[in-house]
Amino acid sequence: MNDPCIEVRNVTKRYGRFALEDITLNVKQGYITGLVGANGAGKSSLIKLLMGMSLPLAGEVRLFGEPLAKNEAELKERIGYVADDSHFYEHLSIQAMKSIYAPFYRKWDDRLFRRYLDRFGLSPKALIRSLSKGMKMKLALAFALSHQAELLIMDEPTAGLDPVFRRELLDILAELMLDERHTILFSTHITTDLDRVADYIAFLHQGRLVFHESKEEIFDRYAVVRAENSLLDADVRRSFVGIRETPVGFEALTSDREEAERLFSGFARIERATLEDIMFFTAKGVTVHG
Amino acid sequence: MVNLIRKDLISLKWYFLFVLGYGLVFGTIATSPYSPLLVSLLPAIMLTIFVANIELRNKSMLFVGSLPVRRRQIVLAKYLSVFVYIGIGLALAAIMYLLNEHILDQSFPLTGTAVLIASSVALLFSAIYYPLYYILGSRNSSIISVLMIFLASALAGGLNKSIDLSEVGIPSQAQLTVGLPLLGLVLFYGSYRLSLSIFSRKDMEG
Repeated sequence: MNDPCIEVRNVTKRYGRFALEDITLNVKQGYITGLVGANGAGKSSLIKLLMGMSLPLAGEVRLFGEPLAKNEAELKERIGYVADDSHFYEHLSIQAMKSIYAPFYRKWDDRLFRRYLDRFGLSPKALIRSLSKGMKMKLALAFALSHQAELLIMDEPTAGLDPVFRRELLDILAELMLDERHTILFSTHITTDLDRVADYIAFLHQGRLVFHESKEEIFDRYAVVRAENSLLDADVRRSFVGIRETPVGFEALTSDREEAERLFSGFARIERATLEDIMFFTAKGVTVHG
Repeated sequence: MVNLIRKDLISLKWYFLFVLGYGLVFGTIATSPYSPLLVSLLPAIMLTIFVANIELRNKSMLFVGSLPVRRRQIVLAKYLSVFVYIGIGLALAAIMYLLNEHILDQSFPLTGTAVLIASSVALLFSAIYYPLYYILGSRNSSIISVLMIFLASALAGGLNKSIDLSEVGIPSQAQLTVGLPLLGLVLFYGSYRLSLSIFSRKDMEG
């Protein structure tokens, strides 16, 4: 159960001025892992590497314990993939698209596909180009979930969706996880989605993996410290991941909650950091903001 | 493999009607001595370009990249589908032949030579087209379109001359019958190896 479903070993990939540098990541089987990071952090690039669409400059990707490069077809049979944008043939109907898609998968379940279409309110006769962005995402999800995939990889599935369907999508993911054989990796910059469903969080920043830990460990470790500016000296500044200063005080992120409590107890308010806090302060670093 | 070819054929959908319309117009109304050759040849070229354009327009290389297939199969399917398109062109020419000879009572000289030239030129065209398609990728699709229009024009111009075999200096019918398809197949295979080598080292683009 706790064997890694996805193993990324020292993967480096360069695109012009942007690079994913020496990424090592093990995604555990049976859990939901959220890949979080600001726009341009490298989330989609990493997912393309996991899907074999991009080729690493160095390192290796293994899925289900096997190297992706050697067993691409067999391994992808076990993956359901939802892209950040629709790449289906826009001039075709859903039914025609299904007749393209289904034969590629030995475990294609037509009844399940029809059930998802019903659930998402999609007509098989509808042309794909007539669907809204949200409907296209639902269609991609219906395809990805209808061939009994063990691993679901989704690139920004909640981006651009209305709150109702975003919530529904997260419910579907939670339902899938009732079957413990499933593993889900999804990228997002909407951190509240991860708060709701993710077991593990991998945080990418400027092409580097900042951390990959369980949600509980992250919330135990990180904290936001709020206090008066007089408390800030050079040593204190260095102890924070990032600081935001205003004329009335500062707020800062620490990655060592216990140490912060020891140092600032009685002088500062120490609160649980949200994923958004962690993303914000890490992205900004120890710089002064007005 | 078969599923990848099938994917392209389904994606062509209404484009087949365009090809049929082309065959009817140039096979029955606007006829010339070159009609059998053009009706046999151009559907294969058109379908090759249409499929690539559909893929580029929909950024569906990323969809293909998510399917449980190997990169080698993706490239091989593209090349094998050319034979299907050639078959469609030849079938269309055969229908036009039957239509002209038995119903419209007009001449439509669909000869073995025309069939061979059409098949060989279609292979040559694809042999040039696909490596460009894989080198330039979707981001440079407009360059591919311009290059292909240029190439198609050059082919059409060349065909008008080559239809008179004496003018192109081909010494015998036998050499044409064997040499041209052989040349087409050799270049086609070389092109496949080149495309495979390019695509195996390239990221898939949307």
